[in-house]
Amino acid sequence: MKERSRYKVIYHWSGSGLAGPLAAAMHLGFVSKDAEASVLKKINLPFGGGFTGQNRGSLLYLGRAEQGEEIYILPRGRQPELIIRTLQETASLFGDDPIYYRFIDCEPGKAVIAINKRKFFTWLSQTVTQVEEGLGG
Amino acid sequence: MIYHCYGGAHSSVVAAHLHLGSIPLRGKVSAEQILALPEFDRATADDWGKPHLIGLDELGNEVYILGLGRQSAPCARVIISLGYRLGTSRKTMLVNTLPTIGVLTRIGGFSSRVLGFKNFGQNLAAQGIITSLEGLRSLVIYTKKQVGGVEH
Repeated sequence: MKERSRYKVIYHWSGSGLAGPLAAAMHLGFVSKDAEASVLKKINLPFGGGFTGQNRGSLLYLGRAEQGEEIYILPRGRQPELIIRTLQETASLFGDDPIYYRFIDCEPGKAVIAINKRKFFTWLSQTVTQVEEGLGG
Repeated sequence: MIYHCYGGAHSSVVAAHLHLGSIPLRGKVSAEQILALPEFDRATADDWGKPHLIGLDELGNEVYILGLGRQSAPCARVIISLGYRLGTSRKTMLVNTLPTIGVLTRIGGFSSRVLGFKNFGQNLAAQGIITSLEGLRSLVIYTKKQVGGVEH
């Protein structure tokens, strides 16, 4: 628990749509990973409407997962590399250790969501499960 | 103190050295003085996103340069929002030097860093810096006043 609380899990996506906020909500337990995709119609997912270009790069802390890790979302536009590198380098400068930062790209699911919302939901919940397992949960 | 620009090779370098006093805030400056700065026209795209320490000012503030390519706005946001979270935002100042420079430095930088015409590009960029020096000096004086480092 103590070690795991040092981790920062950052779900990043283009900023368009709900991939990042949904992954974060699953990790925080607000949305069940076993739920049907139709649950999205029934809940008002925070930040589920996406972000405008003027908010790209805004790192948002959403909460601490049950096992202790901090959960963030990051709308980063279509080219994530430089923004992520800047974040890692600046974390060191600010005295934090980027080794505990986990960057999870939620964007590959976008290709899936265009075809099938259920497949997208499944893909995202599998991704979150892998992240949790990777942290030792 | 982080001076940032497009490539982290020209305007941010000169601003950092103006801040540290290795280039004077008043009086004439030659192109040779600009070209002699160790970081001038050196950074590549691989260095973008990595703050590079230039030195400590008279108040002990760390002065960095940083290239952010075309993504200066989202990258600045990510730095500031991380600072909020980690509690360092009050100790960090991001200064965009790009608006102070003109087309000469931009063409010079592009010629040197992208087209590979090093001598031509470096000299053109240095001339451009001389032309834009008063704007850069005003920005640095304003920045130093914000942290109490200059009396006016």
